[in-house]
Amino acid sequence: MFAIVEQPISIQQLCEQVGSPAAGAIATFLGTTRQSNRGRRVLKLEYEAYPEMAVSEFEKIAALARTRWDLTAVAIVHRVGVVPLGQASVAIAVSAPHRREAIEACHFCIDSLKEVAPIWKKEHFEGGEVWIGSLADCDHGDDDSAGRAHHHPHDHAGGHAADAPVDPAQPRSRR
Amino acid sequence: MKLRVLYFGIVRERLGRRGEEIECAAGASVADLMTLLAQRNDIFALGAGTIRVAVNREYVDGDHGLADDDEVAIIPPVAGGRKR
Repeated sequence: MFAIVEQPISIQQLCEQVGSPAAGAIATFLGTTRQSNRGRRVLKLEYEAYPEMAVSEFEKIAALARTRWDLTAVAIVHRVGVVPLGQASVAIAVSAPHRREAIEACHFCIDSLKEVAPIWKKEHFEGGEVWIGSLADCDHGDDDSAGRAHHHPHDHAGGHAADAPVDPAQPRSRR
Repeated sequence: MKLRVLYFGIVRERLGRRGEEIECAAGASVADLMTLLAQRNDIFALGAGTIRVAVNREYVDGDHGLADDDEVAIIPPVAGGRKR
């Protein structure tokens, strides 16, 4: 199952879809909406997709995973619209005869999805809003990665302050 | 030729529309279309280098040749899309 949905994601349903007597393991990943990002208190997260292409990319990611690991089934679902804090925005379930394959392929699927899936995230935080990763979002951010070199949006030469719809001097201390 | 151009995320928001039909010279490439779009709105110039393009739901390069009735999606940086 590869889908873009507007309703809450059921990981149980995904597991049932990939479950099989041929499988000895199901690895799952849930990406959930976090209440803080780069020191900003997030009020809500809103996702937008190019659904037809996103589903096509999910299928390609799963097909590629199947060439690398011995898998039984793969399911990938992403939610769009406003996703309340703490809820799943993306879910992946991978079944395989053995756990190592399932776990590695699941990891591969979420990393690939993050790079190629035509899905956008708008973060509404205290004092503003920004499309993550985009033009005005100076951190070029993969928002859930740790250890970035820059924590201040003006660290980047030729900053995009004029383009920023948000207050670039948001406090960063809550991180 | 006529193209169906789709906008998403920050580009959709700045332009205030989800898409439009654009008339383009026969034989135009994706890069030609981007030049045309950049003349119409700053968002495309600002996004140069970070905006990707998909034609008929497949990512393509700037030299990709466009055809009549192609569905051309302007893809600003995606939610998780840091290059690594």
